[in-house]
Amino acid sequence: MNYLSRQSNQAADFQSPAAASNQPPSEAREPILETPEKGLAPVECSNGRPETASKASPIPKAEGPIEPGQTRADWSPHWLTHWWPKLIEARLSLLSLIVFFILWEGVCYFGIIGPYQLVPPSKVIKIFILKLTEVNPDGAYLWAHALSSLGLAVLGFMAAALVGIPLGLLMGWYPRFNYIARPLFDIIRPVPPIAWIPLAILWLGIGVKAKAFIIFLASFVPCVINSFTGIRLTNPTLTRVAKIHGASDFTVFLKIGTPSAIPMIFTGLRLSLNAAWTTLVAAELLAASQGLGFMIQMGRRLARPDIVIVGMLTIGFLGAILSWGLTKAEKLFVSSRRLS
Amino acid sequence: MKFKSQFYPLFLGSLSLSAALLLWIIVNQMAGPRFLPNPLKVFEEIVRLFKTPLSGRTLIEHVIFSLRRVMAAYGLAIVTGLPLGLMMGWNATCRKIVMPIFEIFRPIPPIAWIPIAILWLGVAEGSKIYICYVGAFIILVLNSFTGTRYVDPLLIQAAKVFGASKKRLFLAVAVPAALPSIFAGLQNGMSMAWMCVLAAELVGGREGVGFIIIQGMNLDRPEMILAGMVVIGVLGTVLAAFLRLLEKLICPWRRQLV
Repeated sequence: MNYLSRQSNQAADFQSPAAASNQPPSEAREPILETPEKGLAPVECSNGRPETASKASPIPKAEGPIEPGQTRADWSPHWLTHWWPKLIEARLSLLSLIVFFILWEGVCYFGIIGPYQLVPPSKVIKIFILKLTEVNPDGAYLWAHALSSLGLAVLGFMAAALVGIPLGLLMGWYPRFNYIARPLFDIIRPVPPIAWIPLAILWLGIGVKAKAFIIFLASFVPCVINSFTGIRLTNPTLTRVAKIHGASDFTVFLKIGTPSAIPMIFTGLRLSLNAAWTTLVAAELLAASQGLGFMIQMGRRLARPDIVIVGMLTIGFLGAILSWGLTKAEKLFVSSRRLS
Repeated sequence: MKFKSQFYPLFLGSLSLSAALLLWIIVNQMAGPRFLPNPLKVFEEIVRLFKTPLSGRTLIEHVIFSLRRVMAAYGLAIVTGLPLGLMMGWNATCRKIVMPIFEIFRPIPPIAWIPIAILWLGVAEGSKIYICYVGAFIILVLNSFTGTRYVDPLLIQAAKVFGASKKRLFLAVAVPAALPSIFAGLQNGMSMAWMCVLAAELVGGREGVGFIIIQGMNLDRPEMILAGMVVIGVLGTVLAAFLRLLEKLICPWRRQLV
């Protein structure tokens, strides 16, 4: 114990004297000492006091099975302790990525796959940067395409969430409402949203309206299903308690049912967002004058695989960012949630 | 009282359905059949498609074309995706090698593969099967991966205590424990493949149910689109029901919640 604590004090001084002098010593020491203590306590500590244990055998404690990240924290800089072990652990992944890109580059370089089928990653990066400031060959900058797609997806998604979540919650809470809405919903559900595209184009033309309608349909269904299931799974104990304390049915719905459905609602939102993004690409492939789907379609027509691949990767990247944002939003919501 | 409670849902449901039908007919009357044909005409169109061929094929043949593509892609995805996902879940080395590459392609929607698939494989069967394959493959890998990765450690420890070999641990503990997740993947994968075949046929096809609805759009015949949508919905429902049946037969020990 004493041995270790001395060492850690020295380390703190060595690393950043200012910080160490500002902090009370106990605070500086504790996080480093805690883990070895826990690891040894059940074996060596007989009367429950760690001091005696460490006095009895100070040497195995200092040299014993202490995790490498923690002992090294005593003397080595942050990047070495923090990033180096991670790098070592991820070396296989890194290697596989590098091999993948080299293979891709090589396949193109040696002409195994022709330039009208595949372009090397180096060219993809070049075209990506070029496309940010150039409108050829499809008539708009990459960011303009991306913004138009993102705007549409978010518009349709928001509308679907605003309508779908309350509908699902009401259907889950009030049986009468369920009996009325369920048959209609069950008729719409099995038809994939993509199958609505021709009808939507016939009805609303090829503009924003048709696409927003299709995206709305696509993200509507998961929202309804998940909020329905979520509120159905509300813990009956909670609702009974609320009722005993004199809450009206609507209050219970609002204060107990809805909050307890939030995790499921977020699952539904994530599915919705995926569906919205996928369907949007399909709609843009078929009929659009802007958007990432339109861009890759133009790339195909002009036999420009570089444009297609840049578009695909952008679509994937933006999709990943959207769902990442939703996960962040969920954390914000769920941490303030009391019921579980 | 009992009579009422038994038939009440039915009554309300039929009420809402007939209200929707009425709305349909009113819209049809007000906006004209070019906008929304009446339900009877849609039914007649389905019958007509059964009898008279559309671009050389009757409805049955179109359906068979679509189903064949889905089945080919689905079979391929099962053969390649399930083993890969299981390996990734079970073997850390395999996971570390495959995961980063997989993560690059995972967020790309399968439909975004359509243009490049056409560039690679032409507009014939190849590109359509490939797109459905990508859609089903990603879902199957993810589900079998999470299934084997998050097997209850208690089960594995118990099997180890009883002296199970690594192979037996995998085959007798991990795979059965992952089956519910795998089946969820099979169902989602099927609906994804079904959606992808539609998209592929919409973008470039000369046969299949997706072709019927896009042809309806090109010919400005909404009744044909609606007829195609009905057929698509029915087929999708049948496929999903078939998979649920299969799940009940193979994996009866845990039912999915939804």
